[in-house]
Amino acid sequence: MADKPSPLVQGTLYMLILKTLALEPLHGYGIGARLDQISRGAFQVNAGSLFPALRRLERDGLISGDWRVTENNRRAKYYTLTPSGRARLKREMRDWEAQTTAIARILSASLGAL
Amino acid sequence: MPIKRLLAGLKALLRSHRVEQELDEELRAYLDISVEAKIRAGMDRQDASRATRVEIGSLEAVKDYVRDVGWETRLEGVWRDAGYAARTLRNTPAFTATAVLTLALGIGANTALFTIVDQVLLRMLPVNNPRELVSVVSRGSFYGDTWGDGSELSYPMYAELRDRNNQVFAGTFARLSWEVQTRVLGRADRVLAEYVTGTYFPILGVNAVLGRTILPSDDAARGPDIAVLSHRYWLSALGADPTVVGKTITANNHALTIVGVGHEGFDGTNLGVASQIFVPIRLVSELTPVGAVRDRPILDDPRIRWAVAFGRLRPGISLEQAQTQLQPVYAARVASEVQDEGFARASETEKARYLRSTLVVRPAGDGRSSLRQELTKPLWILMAIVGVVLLIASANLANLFLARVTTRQREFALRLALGASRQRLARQLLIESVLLAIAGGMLGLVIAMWGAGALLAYVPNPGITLTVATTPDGRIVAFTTIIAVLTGVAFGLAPSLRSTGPDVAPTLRNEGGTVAGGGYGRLRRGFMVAQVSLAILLMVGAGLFIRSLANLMRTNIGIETTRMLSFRIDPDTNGYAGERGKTFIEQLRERLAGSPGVSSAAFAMQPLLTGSAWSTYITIQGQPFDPDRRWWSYNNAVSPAFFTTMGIPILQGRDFDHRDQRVSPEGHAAFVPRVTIANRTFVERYLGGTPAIGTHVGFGRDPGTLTPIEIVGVAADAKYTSVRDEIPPQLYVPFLEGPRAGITTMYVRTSQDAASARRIVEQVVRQLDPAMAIYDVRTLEEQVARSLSTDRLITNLAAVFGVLATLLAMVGLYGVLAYTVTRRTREIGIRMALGALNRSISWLVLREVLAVTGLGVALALPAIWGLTRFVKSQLYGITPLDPAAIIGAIAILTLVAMIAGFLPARRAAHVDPVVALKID
Repeated sequence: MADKPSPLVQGTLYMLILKTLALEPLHGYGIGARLDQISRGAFQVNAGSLFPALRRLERDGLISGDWRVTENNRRAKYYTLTPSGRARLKREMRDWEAQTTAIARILSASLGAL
Repeated sequence: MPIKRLLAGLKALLRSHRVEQELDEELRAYLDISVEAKIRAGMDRQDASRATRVEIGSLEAVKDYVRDVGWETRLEGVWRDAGYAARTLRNTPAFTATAVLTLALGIGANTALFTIVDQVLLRMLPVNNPRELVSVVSRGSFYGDTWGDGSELSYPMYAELRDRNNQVFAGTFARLSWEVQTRVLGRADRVLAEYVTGTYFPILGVNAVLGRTILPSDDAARGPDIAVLSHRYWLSALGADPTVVGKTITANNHALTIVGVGHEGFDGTNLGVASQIFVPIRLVSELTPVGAVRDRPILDDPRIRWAVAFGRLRPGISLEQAQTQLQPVYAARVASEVQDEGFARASETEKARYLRSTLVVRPAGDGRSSLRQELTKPLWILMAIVGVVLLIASANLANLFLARVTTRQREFALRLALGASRQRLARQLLIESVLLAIAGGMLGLVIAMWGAGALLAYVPNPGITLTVATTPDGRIVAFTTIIAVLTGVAFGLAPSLRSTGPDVAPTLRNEGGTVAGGGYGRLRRGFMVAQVSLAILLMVGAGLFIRSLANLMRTNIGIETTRMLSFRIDPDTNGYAGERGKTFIEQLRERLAGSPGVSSAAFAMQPLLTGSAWSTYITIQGQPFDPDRRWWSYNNAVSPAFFTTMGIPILQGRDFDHRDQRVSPEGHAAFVPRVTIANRTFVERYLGGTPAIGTHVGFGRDPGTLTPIEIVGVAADAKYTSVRDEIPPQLYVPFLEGPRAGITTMYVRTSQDAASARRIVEQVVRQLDPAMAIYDVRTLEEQVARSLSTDRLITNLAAVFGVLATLLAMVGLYGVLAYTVTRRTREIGIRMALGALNRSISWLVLREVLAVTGLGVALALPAIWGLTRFVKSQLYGITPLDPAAIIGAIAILTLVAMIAGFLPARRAAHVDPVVALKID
């Protein structure tokens, strides 16, 4: 990628982590790699942002972590979405869609449409 | 904060070690997996781990960010920072000691003074809901006699307001304080008695720890004669004797049955001065000598006011409402009084003046304190002074701190580079400063305990138990903590905010040395200017007070004060009533005068220089009545040889002698002298050019007042109530023409030291009557000192704190200048290498000193102009803008600043350019 990875819209990191975990439980590196992969390199989340976010989500009871063994036979903390995390994700996705639709409308507005 | 987060935080706090471990492990896994992923993508192991480390950055920083998510980590962080701060401070003992000591002095001064201020000015009475208590006082002209400061009520007036208070009060009580001589369980004491109505204890809500209190039933005219002891008196004088109830205590030779002991901590309604016994108010006639002077019982006499009246407001009633409701009752009573026989001889003007008087309801939750009236202004002035001292100390510390922070730039830059946030650094510095302040506060508390004791020595003790304590209680500790923390934040804040932003790269490359002047230079100079101008302000204050006190001490009081011992004695109420008292006291005087080592002795009804006075209106023979003329004099009844003993010359006419004594006319309780000696002021003010000797005067100013008293002599002026007060017009009358010898002050002129004079006095009194008590034994010089104790209090403290402030400012200036020279060594070296002379290098530093001093003076002048007027009433013989004090203070501070700058300037001039340029 020629462009630098774009900074995340404030607050969206939490939603993206929840979404990632909605698919399957992952450890910290896995979450970062998955975000990188799905966004095709647009979002590269560094450890300094990722771990505080995980700590906060865990504190709020939206995800829960437990220690498992990776396919390469080493221990790592895997995070799973909790029911309240699932509910929060649903709500945030709905809000997000509403917002982006509105923003898209504004951006695509031409003089004639007003 | 949601409960969930709170719980999570608490849990994390409890197992913080495990949480940390888990985070460590998690991050390690992250690293490993990341490396593995990169290897899988085709990197070799070395490149993979390097790339990973670059990606993740500082692992510590990541941990910090994670920790910051929870609230509890901030607490832990503060704790960790405090530990780090303590270690850092320990590593710089010189800095820490200087800072803590400076703070301890500043905080200690404040705490010491606050200890006194709190107890004298701020406390409430230890009774139920003190805020509901009000005092009811009269304001305006009164026709008759007054025992107090003129705000009291006559007892009939109090009774009227008690019975018709229109439901504004839940209850009322009246009281009076009077000194009495007591005897109980074989000991004799001079104590303060509080005469109280039966409602006093119930309305205040004060109970007895033993027996009972005085109750409304004790007001009955034929009730038993009883007394209640204060807890303090019971404890100190009677050793907390549990069998004391039912025993007898005599007060002024009057037997009273002890019925109880009041609760601990309650010392009456005169805050700061303790009442030792409480007696029913109806005993006022029998226990006080004044009772005998009156034609009617004191409790029934509307023409004498002495009752200090209190009320407890009903809930919901405001002061204004109470006053509005009570005013008509007062006015009606006044209107009926002027029709009474008591006003038979009064002029219409006098009646009209009394009719214009009003009633005022005042908050009285803090009781009624003579001490407070006297000390309010001095104490607030001193509180302001110590506040300024603390400001100077803070400025000093801020500068010290700033310098310290500057030298630590490299440490901060390193920590920033390692991922610490600027906020964290600022917090770290703030914690260091607060830690210092708390250490200073604790040491300050110790200094304050000692200092408050020293301060109390200056509080004019009225001769009775003073209840002001010097041991700190919860309030004092809280006060100290608050000012310590505030101080810490105050001096730590600016440096913390200004200094945690070094540019990382240049500082680490060690180019930091060149930024010294820069931004903080202004801040530093600001602190220096503030210190100089505040110190000037305090020195001006100290100068004003010192010059005032000097004026006071130079004042000619008209009395020879050396080798004079005085004591008080009360024959009338201690077995020598009426004429027998006169015989006793004159006999005592003659025996004293004839004792070895005594050159003469005299006695007087009014003690000199104690604030006490006997004043009356006067009428002069031949002067027609004028309703608007209010001529008055301060009087004293004196013994033979009074003028020679006191060293007051008789200017005209004669002294009192054997002719001037007689048995008081039968049935005449009041003092009706036949002759008088006027002082010079009296003659000059009232007699104009007419010859004084032979002129007749009389007491009172009603039309038709008799003038039976002949002026037989004129005495030189002498001070009466205090050293500070102006000399009033005075009339002396012969003591032995009076009816009796009440509380009398004896003056003994000796050729010996005070201790042996005291032994002689005690011996002579014992020979005459072993049971007779004497009290307030002191030299006249001590009395003069007491008269000036408030002035001395202010002056000494203002001087001490002025000097302290100046020293602090000097240390502050020196510190900053020395530091600046060190920081500018390279620049100075370059200047010298380019040919600058030593002199011009010194000038570089001294110019800075002069600029700072000049600015300080410029700032101080308007402050002096604005503030000194507030101390005007404390000054004597000078104006608040006394040029000597102001110029003196400026000169001293300029000199001090130059001294502070001298060493650094010399050091600057001796910089060796070769060495200087090699630094770094």
